[in-house]
Amino acid sequence: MSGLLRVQDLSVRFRTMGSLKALATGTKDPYIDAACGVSFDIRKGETLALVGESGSGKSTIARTVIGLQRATSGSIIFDGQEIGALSGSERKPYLRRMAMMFQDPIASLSPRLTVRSLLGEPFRIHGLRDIDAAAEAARLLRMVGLPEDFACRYPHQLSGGQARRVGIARALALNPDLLIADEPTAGLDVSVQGEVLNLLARLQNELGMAILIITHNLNVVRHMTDRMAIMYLGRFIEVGSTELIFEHPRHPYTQALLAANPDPDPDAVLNRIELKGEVPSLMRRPTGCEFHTRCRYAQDICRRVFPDHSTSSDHTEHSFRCHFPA
Amino acid sequence: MASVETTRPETNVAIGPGLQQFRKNRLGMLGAALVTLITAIAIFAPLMIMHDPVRIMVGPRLADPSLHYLLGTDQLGRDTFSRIIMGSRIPLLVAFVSLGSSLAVGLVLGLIAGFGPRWLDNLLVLFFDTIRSFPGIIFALAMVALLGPSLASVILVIAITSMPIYARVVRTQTEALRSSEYVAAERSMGAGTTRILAVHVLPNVIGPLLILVSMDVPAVIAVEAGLSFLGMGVRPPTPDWGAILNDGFNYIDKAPWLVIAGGIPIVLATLGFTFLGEALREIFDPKLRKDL
Amino acid sequence: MRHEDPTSHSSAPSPPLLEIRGLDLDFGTPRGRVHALRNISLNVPAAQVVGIVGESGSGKSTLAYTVMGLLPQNAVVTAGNILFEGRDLLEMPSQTRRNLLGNRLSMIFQDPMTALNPVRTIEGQMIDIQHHEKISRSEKRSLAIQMLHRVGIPDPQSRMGGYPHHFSGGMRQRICIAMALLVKPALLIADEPTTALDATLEVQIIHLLKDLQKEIGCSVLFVSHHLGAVAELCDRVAVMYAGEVVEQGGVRDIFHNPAHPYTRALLECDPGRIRQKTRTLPTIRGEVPNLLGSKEGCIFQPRCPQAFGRCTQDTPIEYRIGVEQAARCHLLNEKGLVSR
Ligand SMILES: Nc1ncnc2c1ncn2[C@@H]1O[C@H](COP(=O)(O)OP(=O)(O)OP(=O)(O)O)[C@@H](O)[C@H]1O
Ligand SMILES: Nc1ncnc2c1ncn2[C@@H]1O[C@H](COP(=O)(O)OP(=O)(O)OP(=O)(O)O)[C@@H](O)[C@H]1O
Ligand SMILES: [Mg+2]
Ligand SMILES: [Mg+2]
Repeated sequence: MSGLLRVQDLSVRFRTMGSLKALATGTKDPYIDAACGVSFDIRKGETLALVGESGSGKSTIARTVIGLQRATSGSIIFDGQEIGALSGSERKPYLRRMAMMFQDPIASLSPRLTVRSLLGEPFRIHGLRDIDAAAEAARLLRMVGLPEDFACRYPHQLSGGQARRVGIARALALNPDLLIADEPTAGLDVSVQGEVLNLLARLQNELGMAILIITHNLNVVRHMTDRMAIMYLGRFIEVGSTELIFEHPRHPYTQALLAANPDPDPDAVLNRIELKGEVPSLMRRPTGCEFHTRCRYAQDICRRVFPDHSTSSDHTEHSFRCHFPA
Repeated sequence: MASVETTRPETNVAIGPGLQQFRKNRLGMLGAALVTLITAIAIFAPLMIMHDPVRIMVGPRLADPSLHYLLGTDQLGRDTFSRIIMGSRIPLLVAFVSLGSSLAVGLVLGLIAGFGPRWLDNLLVLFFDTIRSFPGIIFALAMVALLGPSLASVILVIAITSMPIYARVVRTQTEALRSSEYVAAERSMGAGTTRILAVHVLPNVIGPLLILVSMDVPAVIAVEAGLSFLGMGVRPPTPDWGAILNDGFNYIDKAPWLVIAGGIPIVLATLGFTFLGEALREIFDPKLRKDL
Repeated sequence: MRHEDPTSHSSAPSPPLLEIRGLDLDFGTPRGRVHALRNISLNVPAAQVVGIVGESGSGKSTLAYTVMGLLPQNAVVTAGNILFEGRDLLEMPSQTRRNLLGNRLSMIFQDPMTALNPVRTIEGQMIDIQHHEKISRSEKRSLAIQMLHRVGIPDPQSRMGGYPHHFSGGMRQRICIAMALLVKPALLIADEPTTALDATLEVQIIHLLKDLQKEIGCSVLFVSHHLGAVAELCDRVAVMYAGEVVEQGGVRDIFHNPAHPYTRALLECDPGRIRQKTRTLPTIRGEVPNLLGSKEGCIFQPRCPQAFGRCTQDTPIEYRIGVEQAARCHLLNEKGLVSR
């Protein structure tokens, strides 16, 4: 297995207000770093999960990899080629081999196209004219468990979960080498969710597709992914094999995240780890370890020194940023 | 049931179902019929007239309607019916040419402003607002002074004053679409700017724009009539609805049919284009379809 | 334990805040009518949280839109009543009904990006939503900031001047939640409000909903696929399948004693219950029924492992099980339960 996607030291910076407003409100630094020195790689046939707080920069990373957003610094290497700085037309051949499904299911479907036209978009964009659009649409709909007569519906005539499945079908249309799935199962009932995940697993087996999956559903992460990365304020704070992390989370934030997963039992006794305080603003990052404001183990050193990546002694692939790992 | 669907041609922007819906819209059909009728009259006018519309004294002055002069004659003894028929050509020509060109220019500039870089957007918006800030009449007078009173100057005045309005509408719509998730989704599949504009932005923009334009046609007809009356449009004796109406006002007590005959075509054209505009909205917006 | 006092609400038989009776709804499509809601009866008692779970595409959002009066052009209600505070929403003049929205009734939409205006700032939208309130603009602004704070948006003062696409998916969703809560409704309809939120935030939002529900005494209709969240937040649960409410009851009944085969199948599919790591997740075999045209028999019959002769012929009526629980399944009759 070889590295298909390699992301190194990726940073993405957004401006939050115009220069006039910044001047008026006395903001010296109107920027936020939505992603900050992020590095990871995905091998062929592997699934990497990106999890973490809402607003921690997961979608930003996905959008940057696919080229919707320019990286401020860092490199994105796809199949041995640097693609971070390519222009639209130079990028196009790579976009045939990558596909992304978006977080907002209905809003990411063009409202005036029927489902059949929507599913035909990838073929038309890449000039595959000799394809029977109707047959392809029917095949894709069947694949995600939607009736074929949905081909003549418009996006606003679909339920949230149905729109999500159309998005999944469209992303899979060209059998991509890399699939970036932003919340692929949100809004699906557990049975359909199972069907979709089984489909992805099957395609991955058959075609060796690599998947970057962004999800809040920890059950999905646990069952479906090989490795996971936990993000906090735009940085990776823990990376490693899914199994290991679920078994033995090292970073206090990871521990709190895993413990929060609601149990489908109204009488379950939950031993949640309360996170005190609030999510810090990206405009005013805390000093030292950025998690110290909410950490129950925080010591003096945590407030002063930014922790480096450390690795677990027995598993070198498992790394985390914490002065006092569990 | 399935066969119904598979025979439908694959159109990219599927307005096919919209057309079906349109057929069920009675007012829309009426509007379309009126517009077609008026356009047909304008095109085939020379074949339909009974007298030379500009010749003076083909009959007595201010004659009552009769078999010979279907709508009577005016103060110069010209046949009103023939003048009305021939008079349809100028207003429609002015409306189509002026609004057509301002639609085309407004659409392109609006798309550029909405989708292009920020500085270009600011520049174009400034340009639109500058034009719009001129008072219409003064602008018209200036154009006429510059080019002399002619049909061309009327067309130019209307085209230039309505263009910024269309461009503004297009720009606002485009701006909203630009940051939408589905445009991002298309980009992520490798679609270029041209494709995004043509397939995803244009259909969203063209609907509201066509509605606006078809509602503007009656206004243009009125403006054209007004300018003719002020001696800044077509010059007598060229037949023209506005001119006929204005002539009629002077003789309203002696020959009321002149006003009526001059007014009715304007009213019909107004209604026709307005109904059509409303119905177009449904064609272009699948969310308004009922299918019940 | 999640419920401090499990008996507090079952005793008082006050009239429900929202009562849906025998609701039928069709969508017109070029293929014919889709019977998207069939014979829906559901109560939302005052100051309770009622969860709706069920298959994707079973009509949960449609039901929510019907209550809100925000149905698309191609929808028609063919039968039924919706009583809200004793008045029938479907009979009400449209002006009166519209006045309820954003006032007594408020909704968190499933797709935040389609609910927010893309060309207006968050600040402007949050101030506008309070138009029923007679307070100054700056007060509205500070209320908005407070509410954004409560839903966990960091630094709301400086961020709220941004446009919706400047925020992450989960932030947009929380902005929608904040907007719906700002109006202090009597009934809050939350259509999958936590799909884009991570587990810690989801818990925080659930607690916020609970707190606010106690604070202003509102009822909540909570639509979700996240069975864990439903178990934690709701007092009652209704299970929908293909346009019907197949089972409803108290949250414990549904999770511990599911009576309908679909409810059982749904609960068994939840990967949260599977402790062993697996690559193939369980699913319900068979396909979702097509809702075009009329159907005979039980809607779940083609996929039901326990289906028998009668299921293909008769549409099951609602059988009562215990005080609060009821389900539409012929098996319940076979077992000798009393039908109502
Ligand atoms: N175009 C933009 N302009 C300004 N800020 C942005 C922009 N896009 C994203 N951000 C900010 O970047 C941060 C990270 O956003 P991102 O969408 O990557 O989060 P996320 O991890 O996907 O969160 P969620 O789970 O809620 O979707 C957020 O604070 C967001 O407000
Ligand atoms: N405007 C419409 N025209 C035709 N059919 C529609 C329309 N809106 C929804 N439907 C159909 O009605 C059914 C119910 O949709 P609804 O959105 O209520 O589902 P849902 O239960 O909310 O599902 P999800 O959990 O996926 O959001 C679906 O099968 C959907 O395809
Ligand atoms: Mg996101
Ligand atoms: Mg829904």
